[in-house]
Amino acid sequence: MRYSLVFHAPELHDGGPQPSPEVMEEMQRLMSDYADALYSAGVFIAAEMLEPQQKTTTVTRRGGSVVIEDGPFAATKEALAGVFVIDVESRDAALAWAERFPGTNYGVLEVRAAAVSYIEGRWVPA
Amino acid sequence: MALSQDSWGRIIALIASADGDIAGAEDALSSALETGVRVWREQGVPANPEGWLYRVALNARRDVWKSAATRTSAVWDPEVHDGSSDSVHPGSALHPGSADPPDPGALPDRRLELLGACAHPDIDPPARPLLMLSAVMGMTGKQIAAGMALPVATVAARLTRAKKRIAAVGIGFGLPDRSDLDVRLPDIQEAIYGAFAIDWVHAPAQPRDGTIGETLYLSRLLAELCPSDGESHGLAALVHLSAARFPARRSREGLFVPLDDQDPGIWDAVLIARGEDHLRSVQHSGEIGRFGLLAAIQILHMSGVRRGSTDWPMLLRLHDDVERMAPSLGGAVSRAAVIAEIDGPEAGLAQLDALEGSSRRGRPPVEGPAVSPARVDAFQPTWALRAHLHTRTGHEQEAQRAYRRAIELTTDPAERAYLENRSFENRSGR
Repeated sequence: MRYSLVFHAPELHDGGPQPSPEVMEEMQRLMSDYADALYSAGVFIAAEMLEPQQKTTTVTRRGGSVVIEDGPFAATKEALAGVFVIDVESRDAALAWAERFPGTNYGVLEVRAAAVSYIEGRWVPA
Repeated sequence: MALSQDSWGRIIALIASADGDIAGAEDALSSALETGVRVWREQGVPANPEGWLYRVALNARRDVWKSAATRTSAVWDPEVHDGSSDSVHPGSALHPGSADPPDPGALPDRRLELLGACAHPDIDPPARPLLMLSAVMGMTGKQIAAGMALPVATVAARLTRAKKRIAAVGIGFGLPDRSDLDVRLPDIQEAIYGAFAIDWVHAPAQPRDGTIGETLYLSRLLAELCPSDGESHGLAALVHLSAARFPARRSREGLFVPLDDQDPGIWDAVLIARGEDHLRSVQHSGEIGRFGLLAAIQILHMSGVRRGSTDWPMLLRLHDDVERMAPSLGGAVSRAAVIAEIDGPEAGLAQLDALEGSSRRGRPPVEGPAVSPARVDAFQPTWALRAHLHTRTGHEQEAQRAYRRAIELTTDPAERAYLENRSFENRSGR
């Protein structure tokens, strides 16, 4: 069963408080240890930490024609910051891993089961 | 310049008790230390360096208090104030005074009040252990973060918030009432235990290796400050006995080694002896609480491993007492393991079934909102024990199912590898 650990965190702003290089480095190390643990347990599928949402381009055709706009769909203080996709047998196992996610010290993690996943060239329902 | 482990907390407690400003006291003592290193290099170390540091730090705080009083109580008068600040306190921070500075060791020990302030109900429980390590032990935010495997920024933010809160709500610890502190003791003990171990929802509590020396010290300090309090000794005994086994928890190859398979020769004899002393003090106090019981359980297990035979009925009685006094899921699972040793694996399994079943029927076997049927089912130790007991009854399929579930819930690589090995041995009938 695939689960996405969807990570939301406050975004940094120009002119706002910035973490020091040491703080950044430390969080990168903690994240890397975490990813290593997922990998060694054989449950790792993918991890993406995202660029700030200002660098997002939003694409929609909801209004009929294609609209491509720079910027996020909805700007909020906390934004989607990253996604870890893991393959574990149960929601409890996904939660056990989520407990250890280092980013929960400054953000929030949503644990969401996949409804359907595209794996090796085809859609696989959960 | 090494300040003894005792001195930091003593000096902070003395200075901060005046206004509840722990951060201010820490800053003052840190700069006093810096000044000391500089001044002593030229003039030599004074006879009583700790008294010197105390006096310098206190003078720095007095300057702050005086200027704060001036700001709030007097109208600014350039005639009086302008340029006069130097003459009012002529560099007092660098001149501790001609009289011999008092040895902080000779002054009243306010560290119990300081511990009480750190464990104050207005302080977030997760911040309490951090505060103690900072205020009483003099650890920097960076050291605490490294020791507790937390990000530095998180520790810094929690410490700042907690110290502001203590100063803001006037959690003063001047003129303490001893009975107020007695009420606070369980919270102080909980916070020290929090510095020692981290509780997970899905897994057993895990010791925080990085702050173990400081936690041992804090537990001894509390027992020393409250010599007749049984639970303070119980906590000290528990922490010392658990820490004594740290060296044996992992094999040379880094594999997880369960208690029963540990080599008692690697256990730390000094820590065991101290733990046993504290256990004796628990007995003398005539009062045994949760920590005292847990410590007694530890010592029984340890002497069992050492002698090759364990007093299981005695262990069951202790577990029953813990269950009555401080029910927990971890405790209930351990109790099931003891029952399996006395009445056989089937009895242990029945106990686990009852644990799940009764909570499923809405009657939690263990009180508290934390134990729902889902929680029992998601708790890794339940499945590790199930797997072990099914292996013993020879039910390979059930054992395999339980191993799978236990492994899936295990995030620690060493423990995972251990369970995988056991599962493999079970499969291949070894």
